[in-house]
Amino acid sequence: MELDELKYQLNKKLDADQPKPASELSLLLKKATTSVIHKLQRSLWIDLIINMLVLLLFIWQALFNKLWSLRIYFSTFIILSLIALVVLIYLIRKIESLNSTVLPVRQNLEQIYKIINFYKIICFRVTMIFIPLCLMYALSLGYIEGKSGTSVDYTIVIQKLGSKIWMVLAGIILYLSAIGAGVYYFTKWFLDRLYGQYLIKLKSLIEELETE
Amino acid sequence: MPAEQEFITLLNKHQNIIHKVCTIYMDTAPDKEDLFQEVTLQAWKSFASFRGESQFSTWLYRVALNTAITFFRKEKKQAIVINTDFFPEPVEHSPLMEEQTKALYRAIAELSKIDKALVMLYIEDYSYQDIGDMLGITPNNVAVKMIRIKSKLKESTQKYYQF
Repeated sequence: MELDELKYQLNKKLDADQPKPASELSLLLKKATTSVIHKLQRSLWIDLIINMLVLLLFIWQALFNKLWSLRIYFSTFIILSLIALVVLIYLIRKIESLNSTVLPVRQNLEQIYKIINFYKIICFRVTMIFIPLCLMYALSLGYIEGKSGTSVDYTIVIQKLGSKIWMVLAGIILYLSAIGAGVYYFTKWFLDRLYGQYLIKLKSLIEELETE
Repeated sequence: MPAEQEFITLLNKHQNIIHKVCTIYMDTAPDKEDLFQEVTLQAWKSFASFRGESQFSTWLYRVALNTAITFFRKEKKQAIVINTDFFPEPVEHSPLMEEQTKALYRAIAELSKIDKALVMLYIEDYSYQDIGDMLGITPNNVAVKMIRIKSKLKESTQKYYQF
């Protein structure tokens, strides 16, 4: 039988292969890993650091901004940043625990797939939800603040614009649509470029293991 | 003994496992070297989880296969050429044996990553139960896959060489 013939050949040859000296093996331990999961872990650490810096900025704004609408706006984002912080820490810990255990191949593939897919979905959804949400929230707070007399009153601006208001509104809608479409396609393309192909390959490996 | 020293001693003793996995999964010397480094690093990172419940060789096989299977190189634009020069030379240097072995190597190189893992563990004499445990599938699934792989190898080998 051909495979059993190879077994003898391969084992004999590889056992006689030139081994690496212990000193070279020691040096290998100092090098950096190139695995996708490690790259994701590095991205998560960068996200975490940026999130913490932004959080400090939000706290500063929430405490010292002159406009109360912006203080409320940034206070809301402090809560959202804290939620993001929890999610990032959860993902980092999950990767660390995956790195420190040796699971059977199938479970390992499933875990890697779950983590990367979760990150990809969260990134995409958060980006998509936040654009309209931030705009609507900022406009609403700005409008309420304007009515209270501490900022620009939009009702006066609208009155001054008169019949041109429709052109201004059309321009705003067009601008927001362009931004929305741009961000949608860019985020989709960017995440697919980073993790899309890898996820497809992982999925096909899992399916291959599952089928008899 | 410090953990690093203990790890190096064990790795040094069992490094042929990593060489074998690299040879099966990679077809160029630089790729083989990269995978060797990656497996070594992954093994070191998870060494704390090795409690001696299984043999170090079995544990290292699991790490090596997990790493090799999830190790993806960027797709090369040019057509894939299987470099048989890189395959180990047959031990018995009869021209017939050499041709047969090269044909079989070519056939193995065409297998999927999962099938390569199965072949690797099979030629190491692991039982279907052990192979199933390492891959996370049932022994019955291993048996079915092995029948399919053997038939695929036979078919592919005949393309390259008429036994």
